[in-house]
Amino acid sequence: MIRRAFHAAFPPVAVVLALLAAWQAAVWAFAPSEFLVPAPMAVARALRDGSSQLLAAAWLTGLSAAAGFALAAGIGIVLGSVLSASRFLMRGLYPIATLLQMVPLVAIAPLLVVWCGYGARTSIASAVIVSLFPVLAATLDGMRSTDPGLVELFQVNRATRLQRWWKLELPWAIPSIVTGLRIAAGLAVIGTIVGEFVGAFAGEDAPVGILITSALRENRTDMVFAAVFVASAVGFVLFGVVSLLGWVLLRRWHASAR
Amino acid sequence: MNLGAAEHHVAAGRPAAQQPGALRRIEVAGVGRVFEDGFEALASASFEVPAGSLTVLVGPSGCGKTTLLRMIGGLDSPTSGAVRFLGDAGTLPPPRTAFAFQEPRLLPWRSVAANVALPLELAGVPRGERLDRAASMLERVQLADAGRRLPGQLSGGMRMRASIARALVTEPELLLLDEPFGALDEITRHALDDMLLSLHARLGMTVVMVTHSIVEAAYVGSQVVVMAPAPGRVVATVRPGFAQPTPALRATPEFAAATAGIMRSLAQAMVPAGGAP
Ligand SMILES: Nc1ncnc2c1ncn2[C@@H]1O[C@H](COP(=O)(O)OP(=O)(O)OP(=O)(O)O)[C@@H](O)[C@H]1O
Ligand SMILES: [Mg+2]
Repeated sequence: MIRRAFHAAFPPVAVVLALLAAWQAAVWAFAPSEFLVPAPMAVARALRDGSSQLLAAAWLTGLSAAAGFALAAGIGIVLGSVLSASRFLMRGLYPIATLLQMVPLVAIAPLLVVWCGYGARTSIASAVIVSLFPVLAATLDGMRSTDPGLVELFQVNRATRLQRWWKLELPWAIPSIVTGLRIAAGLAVIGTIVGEFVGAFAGEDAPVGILITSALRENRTDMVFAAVFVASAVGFVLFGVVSLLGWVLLRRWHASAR
Repeated sequence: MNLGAAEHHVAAGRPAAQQPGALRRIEVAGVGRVFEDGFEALASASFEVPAGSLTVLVGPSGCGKTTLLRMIGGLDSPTSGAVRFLGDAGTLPPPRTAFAFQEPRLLPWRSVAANVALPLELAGVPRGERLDRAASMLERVQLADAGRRLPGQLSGGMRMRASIARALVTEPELLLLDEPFGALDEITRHALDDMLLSLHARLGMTVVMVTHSIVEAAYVGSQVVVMAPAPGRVVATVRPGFAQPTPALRATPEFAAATAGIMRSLAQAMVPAGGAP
């Protein structure tokens, strides 16, 4: 068990350590200004000195990202189910959803502030907007690929439409939905931070997005790097939770979880 | 989709023959099927299935066996002719029918027992009762110990038996089997043929079964309907009539004669000049 964990963890850890060493060496060798590229040691110091502030920010951003992700997951799965059940709705709505997905988030983020006001609601809305489409598309694809033979089995046994959805199409689509949720998890954190850039309060309890903008204003590049590190960690945790959920749901019957 | 599930709970358990208005025979009367693309898969097939019989449809690939079976089960409608269910006093509504497809069609995320219980679950039978009934059906197909396993952990033959248990769990009056053992090796197929015969003897339902195998047809069939392709049609109805087939039967001259009879019908039908009706 420990051996296996070690085998899994060793390659990425080794690569990261090597890159950090190279980075530190390059900073020593070329001595760029602290403002352009901080040394890894400086970033580590920023992480340590700003730890309480960074933790609070991670918590706030994590909450917004998780809320946005959960909303997107719920809406995406329900909407995907509805679209998969109706050819008419799918033909009508799916192209529109695809088009909406092309709208750049950064361009409409200021609009979100107008609609949702300053605060977490804008960040959550922004997270929902970017992470909805992968869930919707994955749900729709998964359900539409349901084995026609199994659909016939349900028809022969006079299943209701709701039984067919709950007992056949939804479980059938879970592997695909989990993949969509994995993608959505990372996007939700990105969406949240974009939302925070335009619509979060600065101050004592500032989320990661605000931490980044204010650190930039103070020329604290080391702090920017530290905040980026924290944001990635938040995304990683969300991704991990989704992967764990997928593993729990699929490990007994699906090849992807073995 | 007209499978008469309305009677699901009415007649469960009692042998069909004892009820007033019971099914006496199924009449396939001049049944033809021309598909939407103009392809004539079946031209006027006629034969009778006596209630309680085990009727086998045999014929080469593409002669319309599945098409015919689906029409008997109400999954498709004839473009000419009709399938009638007859009792003592005339035509009856379709009986409780169960279908076992060519593939097992099990839900991979459900245990074998939960798969077998699925038809009952969809019909709203309470959990305790349906699991009991699934368990006793699994026992009948010799899968008593496999109930908690997943389909992915079973062998092909075990999966097929689970699928037959699922078809039987609703206690159908009419069981339709589409090449149920077609994908299995000969030894396993022989064992499952014996299992099918003993289930049929004990439960007494009417069975219509499709197969490619002449040996299987002669062994299990109380009646064998021989079909030919292009266009699909019935060329002969043979009654091997072995009252109680046992594995030893397969090695007897009588059995060889029966398979030879079926083969002759098939061979005659396959000669192009032999004359389509
Ligand atoms: N939906 C359909 N539309 C058009 N043609 C069809 C359709 N279904 C079946 N056919 C054709 O009807 C013919 C009979 O098909 P069917 O599946 O009944 O054959 P079969 O006797 O069961 O063959 P096999 O033994 O290979 O399963 C085939 O030529 C097939 O191509
Ligand atoms: Mg077939």
